This record gives sequence, C-alpha cells and structure tokens, in this order.
Amino acid sequence: MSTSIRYTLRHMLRGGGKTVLAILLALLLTAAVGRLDSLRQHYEALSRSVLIQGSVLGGLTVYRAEKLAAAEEVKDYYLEESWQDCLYLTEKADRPDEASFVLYYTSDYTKTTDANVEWLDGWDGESFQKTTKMVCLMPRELAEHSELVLGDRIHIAEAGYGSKTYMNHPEMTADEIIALWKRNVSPTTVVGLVSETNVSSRLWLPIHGMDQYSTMFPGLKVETAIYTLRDYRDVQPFREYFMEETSREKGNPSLYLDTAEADRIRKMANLLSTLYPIALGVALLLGAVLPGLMVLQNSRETAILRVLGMSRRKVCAMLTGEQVLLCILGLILGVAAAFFLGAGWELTYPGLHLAACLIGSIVFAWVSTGKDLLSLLQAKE
Amino acid sequence: MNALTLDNVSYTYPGGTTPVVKSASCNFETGKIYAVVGPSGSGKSTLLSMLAGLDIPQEGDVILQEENLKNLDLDKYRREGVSIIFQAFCLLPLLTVRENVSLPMEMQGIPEADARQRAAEALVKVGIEESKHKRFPSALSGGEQQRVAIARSLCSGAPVLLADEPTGNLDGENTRIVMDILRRLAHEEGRCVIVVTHDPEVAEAADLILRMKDGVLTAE
Repeated sequence: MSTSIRYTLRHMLRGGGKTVLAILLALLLTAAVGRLDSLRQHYEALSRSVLIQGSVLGGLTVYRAEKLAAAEEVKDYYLEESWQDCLYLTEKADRPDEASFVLYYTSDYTKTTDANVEWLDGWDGESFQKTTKMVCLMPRELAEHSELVLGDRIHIAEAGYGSKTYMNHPEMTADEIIALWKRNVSPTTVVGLVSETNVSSRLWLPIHGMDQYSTMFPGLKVETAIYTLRDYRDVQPFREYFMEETSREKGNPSLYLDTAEADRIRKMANLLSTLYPIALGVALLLGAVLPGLMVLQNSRETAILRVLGMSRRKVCAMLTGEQVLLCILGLILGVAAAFFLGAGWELTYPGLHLAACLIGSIVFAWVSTGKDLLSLLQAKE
Repeated sequence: MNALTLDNVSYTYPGGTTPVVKSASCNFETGKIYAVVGPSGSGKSTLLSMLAGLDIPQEGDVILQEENLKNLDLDKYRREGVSIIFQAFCLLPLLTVRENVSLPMEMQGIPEADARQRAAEALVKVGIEESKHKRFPSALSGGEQQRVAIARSLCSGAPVLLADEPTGNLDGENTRIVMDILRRLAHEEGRCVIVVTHDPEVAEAADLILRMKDGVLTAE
C-alpha cells in the first residue's frame, strides 16, 4: 500500500468529528433528496389517477356534452339514466297519463339506433338529423303496442300534461283535454322504428333545459358520475366546460365536481415539483462545497505535506480521495436510509452527489495546495 | 564542504517594486550551524522560503551541493535535500509521533517497517521515550513536539536543516535542549543547520551569525 493511501486511510479513520460529519452530510442529503423525490413521484402518479366525483345537477346542452366527449378529458365517463323524458301518447288512452310508454329522445341517435332503424322511404340518418319537420323515431315495441306504422302522425305531449291540465281545469273531461292538446300540439310523423340495441353502447345525454323537469321526475334530480382523469392537469379545462355551462344556467349548475381531495393532491404535487429541483440544486451545492470546505480546513496539514516534499498533484489526489471515500460511505448509507423511508433504489441523485463531491474536492484541494505554504506553517496552531 | 550556496540572490514579491532580498550571497557549509538574525520585515522569511525551495529567486541562484535549484524537482529537493523545522512544530495531528517521523522516509520509498524502526531510534535520540511514540502530538508538551519535529528532520537524511524560530514557543530549559540537539546534528552528524531567529541566545549558539537588514545579508 502506498504512503499516500496509507496516510489517507489513517486520516479518515482518525478524523473523528470531521469524518462523521462528512459521512452524515452525504447520508442525510441522499436520504432527504431521495425521500423528496419519492414523494414527488408518488404525488405525480396520484394526480394522474385521482378520481373526481361529480354530480350532474341539471342538464347539459348537447353541444356541451359533445364537446366534453370530444375533448377526451374524460377517460371512462358515463351518464347513466341521463334522462328518459316521458312523453305520452294519448290518442289510445282515456287520459294522457295512462299511456305510460316512454319515448327515448337522444341528440345522438347514431349511438342508440345505429343500423337498427327501419326508416320510412326517403328518410335516413342524415336527413333525420337535418330536418326541420316534426318527425320522431319510435321504439318498435311502442309502435306495435300502439298499432302505429311508419308514416303515421301522432301527437306527443310532455309528461304530466294531462294531469296538469286536469288539475287546472277539473271541469274538463278527458276528451276535452285531448281535444285541447291536439289543438295546441302539432302532429309528429313517425319516420323510423328503432329496435333495442346493446345497452352498454348507449350514450344518453341530458338535453339542455331539462332541469325544469326535475321536480316531476325524482330520478332526474341529481345524476352522479365518476370521472377518472387521464391526467390530473386536465381537471381545470374539464371543469371550465362545466363552469361555462353553469354561468348559462344562472344558479342552476350543470355539474358539481368534488375536487377537494384532488386539489389537495394537485397542490402537493405542484409544491413538490417546484421544491424538488431547488432542493436538488441546494443539495448538490452543499455536496460540492462542504467537502471542499473540509479540504480547506486541512490547509495546514496540506502545507506540511507539501513542505515534506509531497507533490501538489499527489496531495490533491489524497485530499480528494478522502472526501470521495467518505462521500461514498455516506451515499451507501443514505441510499439504504432512503430505501427504508420508501424511496426505492434511486441512484440518480447519489451519482450526481458523488460527481459534485469529486468536483468540489478537486477544486478546493487545488486552491488549498496553492496557498502560501510558509505563511500557513509560520502561523501558530 | 559547501552544503548550500546563495549566489547573488534577489527576490521581489509579485507586484512589488522593491526587492525584499537584495543580492544575497553566502556559502553554508556542512557541519556548521548558522544563525540568521534581523528585525521583522528584514527579509529573513523570504530568504528561508528560497532556501526551502518554496520560492525561486528572480535573480541569482540557490545551489545545493553543486546542483542549481532551478534545475531540480523542488518536491524532491524538499524530500531529500532540505528539511525544515518551524516555530509552530508543524506535526500532522492525526498521525502518531512515530508516524510523523516515519512519513518523510516512507515518502522517499523506504519500507514502512524500516522507516518505523529508524523513526523510533531517532525519537529516542532526541529524548522522546518509547512510551510516547504512539501518542498523538497534541498529547506532548511544546518542547517534546519540537524534538519530534527535529527527529523528523533527522530521519529525512537531508544535508541541510532549516529552522524557523525553532525555540520561539519554548521555555528556557526546552530551548537549551533543542539547541543542543541542533548543535549535535551539525557538529556530530555533519549537517548544515541554518536557524532563523530573533533570540540573541540562540544566535550565540551558532558558529556563524548572519544579519539581515533591509534585504541585505551580511556576516558578522
């Protein structure tokens, strides 16, 4: 073993407080930065997978709902039982409310009907979408029950029409109510018969303004949906869609998003993302400067070695070697400590710290060995 | 026989205009002890620095046994040509007394075991008993520490021994002991000992007194 290695090892082993301090420095910085990094990664992962709970309080415009879907902000959304607007066929009933068949209204008929529509001659999906005439699609089951065929003209009333009219005009008979209704409501032509399709493929969208029905249909008062965000950072634009809708609704918000937990996670993720590079920089700076200062503290010993005839390069190597060895020891302990704190075996920071220590030690060792030897040695201890 | 020669040496600090050492010339012979005296700021330390190979004169030459310092590896010169004793002892605090003494020998390539053996002998020679060889310097008195520093110089085998105020931190008794050892090194072992000092008593123990004043070196 060469003299310089022997000297370095002796110096390390007998360094006492300085040795412990150097090891502790690397240990604590590695453990702290490792823990911070793991927390940052944890919160970033959490913010990507967080569930936002929302409640649909009213209807959405078709436009808004389509935009929401098109924006792909929502990964796995559903608006189940969004609405089933109960419209009543009254021609076959004694009173309007007794004909409790349901017509499904949807703005996106292609998803519900697709190829399962039997069209009246001259009609198809495109003309149906673009028409300004009073037309409707009707479930085949309902048509058969009502003995209707394609091209028949029917009168459709909104839910509760008969009841409301009856309550307001108890003197009126059912026939009179129906007559009144027929005068007020334009007939609608049945242009398509819809077969039942795969329920799971349906996208029922609430139609703007349907909140007015909420008192009549308890099932429509509040609809709940859970949105799994692809990336938490998309929460804000996602929410803005709803805020825009809310302002239009004037105090009747379309959707309430419970983002309290998500906000907390986002804040923490943002804080850690900001803090981490700063902490990394400070830690690396300390990792470079503190070993360097320890090297400078040994300036007098350095001067003695130089006066005894050790070359500047060899003294620099010894000083650097000592700090690097202590640093490696500290880093090993630090990585182990970080692992037990839940950081995993992350070796990026230890590598950077070692590099910082190496650079700092070399620079300060070169400075230390370049000092005026005589003035260092003439000074009293 | 000349151990070290100063030949018309001048030195001006970088940025300075006035030389702190002016055309100093002197032959330092083996087996003699020299004292360089003079007031503070007279250039004694600069002269010592050049003799130790820590500074190179801008003019003139320092010659070690016919070898000009300008042509020598200065690290090797300090390892083998010259040895220095300081007022503040300058022992390595984390090495034991014996390790301090054996280190320069190990740096010269002498095997560790041999170096330790010779260090122990040198320490005994300067009056440091064996029980203290494994102690750290801080456990020794000032006089003992200075004797360890002398033992270190002794072991280096350097023909020239420079001493910068070697008794500045010592009491009268220890001053006498240290000067006895230095005289012995010069007269019995044939070393050339150059002592820089303020102390007239130390100077009187020298074979030749050199006076430094305003950068000019003169023999008394």
